[in-house]
Amino acid sequence: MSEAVINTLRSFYAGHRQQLYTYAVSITHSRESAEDAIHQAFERLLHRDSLPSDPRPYVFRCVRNAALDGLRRSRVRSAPILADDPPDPAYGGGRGSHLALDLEEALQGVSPDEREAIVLKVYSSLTFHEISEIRRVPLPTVASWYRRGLEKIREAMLKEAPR
Amino acid sequence: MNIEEQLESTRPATPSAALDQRIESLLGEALRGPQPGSRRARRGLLLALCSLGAAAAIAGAFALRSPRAAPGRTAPANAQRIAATGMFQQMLLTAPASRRPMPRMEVTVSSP
Repeated sequence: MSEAVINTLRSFYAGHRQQLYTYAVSITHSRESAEDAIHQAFERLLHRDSLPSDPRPYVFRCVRNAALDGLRRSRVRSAPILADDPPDPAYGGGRGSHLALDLEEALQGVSPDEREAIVLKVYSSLTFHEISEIRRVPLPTVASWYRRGLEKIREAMLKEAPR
Repeated sequence: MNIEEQLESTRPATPSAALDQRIESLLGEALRGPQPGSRRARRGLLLALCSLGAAAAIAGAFALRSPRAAPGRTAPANAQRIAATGMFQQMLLTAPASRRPMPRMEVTVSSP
């Protein structure tokens, strides 16, 4: 393995640890499995002689594969995608917790493909093009998953509103 | 606020410090020395060599016990043993005097 790959992976992890984790949790529904998936993906990536010039789609794809492998091995209780600690004032104060809970519930209600597209776009700041590379599907499919997912979340939030 | 903005305003769950540590030790180990994969490969190679050695030892033991390798069973002794029961005693005991090929021998078997 080359030193360049190790250094690229190190800086990539430092810059994307949050996004990778959120993405892995959205697939595995378990914090432990998500962390295992990221670890496993990096272990696999270390065997590569080189990485693409833009490693983002490639590393996210590796994490996805590792997360799916873990998911096949064990079915686990759902873990929240969003933070369950006290709301940060920077994210809207007290209302943040209710909003996060409702959004979390709504996110769990959409299909896995739609959820993946939303998580990658919103929390990992990936482009539709990058997501289509990760999922190996045409770009319009990703855009459609994303829009459909958002629409479902919006409907779910509207239902929650009178509560 | 639309749904996209609402989602962006929420904070996603963060990985634990344990994961950071695991990744750091994984990358650090890779930078320092061989990978767990290579270590596994080396262990496999060692195991293969041991198996090969064991197989060679067994083959050697069989070879030493074979009649050809047994001490005292030299060629004349073998020849005498054969000669004692065979009908070409002279031919087996005496080496050919020259490089001339031995006369062709024909064996005719007739049933009673």
